[in-house]
Amino acid sequence: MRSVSRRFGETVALDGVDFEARPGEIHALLGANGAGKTTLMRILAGLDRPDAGTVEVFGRRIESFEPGPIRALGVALVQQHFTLVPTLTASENLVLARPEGALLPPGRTAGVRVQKLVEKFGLEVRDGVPASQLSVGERQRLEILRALDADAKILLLDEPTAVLTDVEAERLLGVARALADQGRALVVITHRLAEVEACDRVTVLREGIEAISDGSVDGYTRADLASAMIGTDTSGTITARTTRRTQAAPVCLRVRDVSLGRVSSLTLDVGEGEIVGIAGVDGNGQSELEAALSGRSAAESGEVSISGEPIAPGDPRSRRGQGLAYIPSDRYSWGLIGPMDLADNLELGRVLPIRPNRPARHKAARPSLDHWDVRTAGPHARTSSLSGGNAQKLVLARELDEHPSAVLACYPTRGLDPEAADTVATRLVAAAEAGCAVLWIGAELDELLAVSDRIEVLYDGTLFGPYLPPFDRAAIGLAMAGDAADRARTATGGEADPP
Amino acid sequence: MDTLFSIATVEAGIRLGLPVALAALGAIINERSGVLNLGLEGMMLSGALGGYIVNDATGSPWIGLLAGLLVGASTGGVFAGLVVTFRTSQVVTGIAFTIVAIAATTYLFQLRWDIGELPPRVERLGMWPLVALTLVCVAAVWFLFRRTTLGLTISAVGESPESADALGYNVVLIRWMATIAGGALAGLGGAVLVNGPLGLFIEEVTAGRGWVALALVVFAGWRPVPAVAGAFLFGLCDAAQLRLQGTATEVPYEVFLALPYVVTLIALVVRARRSHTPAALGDPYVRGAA
Repeated sequence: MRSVSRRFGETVALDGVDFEARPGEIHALLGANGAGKTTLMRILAGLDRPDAGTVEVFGRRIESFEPGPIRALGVALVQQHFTLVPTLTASENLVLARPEGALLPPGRTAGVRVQKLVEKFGLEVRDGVPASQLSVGERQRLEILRALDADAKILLLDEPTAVLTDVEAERLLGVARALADQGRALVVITHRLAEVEACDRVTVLREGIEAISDGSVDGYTRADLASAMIGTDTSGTITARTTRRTQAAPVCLRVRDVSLGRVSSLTLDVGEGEIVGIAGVDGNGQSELEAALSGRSAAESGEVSISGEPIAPGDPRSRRGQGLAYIPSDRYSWGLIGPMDLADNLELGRVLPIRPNRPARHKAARPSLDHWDVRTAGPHARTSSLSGGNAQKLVLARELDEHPSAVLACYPTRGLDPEAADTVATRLVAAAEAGCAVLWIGAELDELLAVSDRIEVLYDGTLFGPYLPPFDRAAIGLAMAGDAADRARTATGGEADPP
Repeated sequence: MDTLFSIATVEAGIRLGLPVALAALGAIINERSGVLNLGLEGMMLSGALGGYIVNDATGSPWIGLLAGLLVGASTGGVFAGLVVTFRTSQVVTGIAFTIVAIAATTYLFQLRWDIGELPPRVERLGMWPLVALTLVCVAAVWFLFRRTTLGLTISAVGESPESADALGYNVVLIRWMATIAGGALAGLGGAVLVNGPLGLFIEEVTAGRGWVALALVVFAGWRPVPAVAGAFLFGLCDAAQLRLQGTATEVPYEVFLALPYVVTLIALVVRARRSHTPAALGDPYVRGAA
């Protein structure tokens, strides 16, 4: 792939990326969220098209980006979201991928085909039950078998270990090695350093640009890779705070042993006036943490309390009543109602049974809109007409106007232009300085470094830290890529092993 | 009451069940591919009018059936263009489609035969050829989904279009084909009704049989054989109510008129909870929009 570029609207997903996969090698594609890894692989598999650049497979230049012909050349992508048909069995899924003529083979023949593949590659899969009833590991093995059944010469695995247990992940990397030894080219997308070490070559993407291009894995230390992944330039778009809180403050938001999905018994305290940043790569439990703390989902176990008062699980209303302001990661799904006007959105969650008339409501909304710098045509404007930055400021206006005691801010600057992002960050810092406990879940390390009093890293549902200012960027980067988790496992694993 | 349980009632039931069975088979092909076809009633009605006019013009009920099939297929094509290619709402488009078809068939019919004028009776086909035709269709649909790669592909497109697309199948093309096939069978069903048991066309002649067929598909869990069995249950109730109307009872005849629909509804409620709906039913497919 030569200088491949792809934009989605305003966002540049890939900016002139070169990439090569060679037979007999495992190539690791490392990067944080939004670095463009998946987009690059989708283009290579024909599921997306580049805006510029060329793709060649075995010397043949790809002209039309369609999945069918590219599969025929021997490229197979195992996506993060599996593409098995859930109602079909293993053998039926294989027949669908590579039919043996117009008629379906009788059940037995199809079963033999699965059996042969299972034996040949050592990937165990149950046949005879719908794919939806297979375990995640089995489904993934079936996806890989299906690719191998089509005699894939280039096998692309998108975050294959994200859904696996450690033992399964290790086995998978073993299988990958065996397939590479047969002369296939493998590409493994990952954000875990431990997995990169099992590969031959590595490309690191950051914000659509190669930070390391096609290097030999042996040539880089973990620290090199981590810093390539998170970047070293500290000139963030957000004004860094000049003072940080140093002494301990009374705890306001207390999270005790909360488990939900990926998140397992997470414990965290946020003091009054403190900003705690949760760093980490998406999909390590951020969305579960958000859901549990905002009350959108009841935690499986554990307790959340604000100012010493425990709150019932899964009860957003009582959480609001106790002074939790919530800035959701997806402001259009959970924060605002697009078709309604600004004044109505400002009132959401605190509407009186009988409301004042429309002019009065609009008049009442105006000071708040001015104070929070929401730039619009006026309170009557439709909320969906707002730019991302102004929409986020509207959320802030509603959530922070009532002087909450705690703020849950999930990716508050996501998708905003630098100026708006800075405004939002400044307002959240101001809220903290006024005594609010702020929990800031963020994807960009730079902004967390700029605002936090303390940073914790969320990796695989567990928090690692705390990291205190002055922050050690490299150490946080390593923790985000799982280094801290690996160390912890080795340490406890060594103790637990019987002699 | 003797007349109620006679061979004649059973025969009438079979005759009345045939159109519903064919429409239900059409809906199965349609919906297995993920396209919800609420225009089925309209497609049946279009096929019925097409079949009637051609039969009247040529004097051959067989050519009438063929005409119904073709008219149905072309309505299926129009529907596919709207919901598959232009991705309009399948629910709204389906209902609108049926309403338009009711109005359009009435209009075309009245252009040809004035109000009050007695439209001619056309030559009718006997029961057995139509039964044979329907059985061939059932077997074909059963074979399609059980034993052919095409059937597997249609199901895959209805269950998980992303997966089918990633494997290189053309989701839009497959849905087009399934929708046209569904329309063709629904149109054939309408033509069978007019060229078989009735022998004439009147406004809204299908009288909700398309909706009944849609309900039967759910009841049958999108499988052809139970759907056809259900269609004959409906036909039998329809025949019984015709007989009961003729007998002098205290019960108002409207109750008997409603009978087949009530039985269908009950069967639906009892059975439908256990059936598996195609996962992508009603969802337009856009690559990359998860």
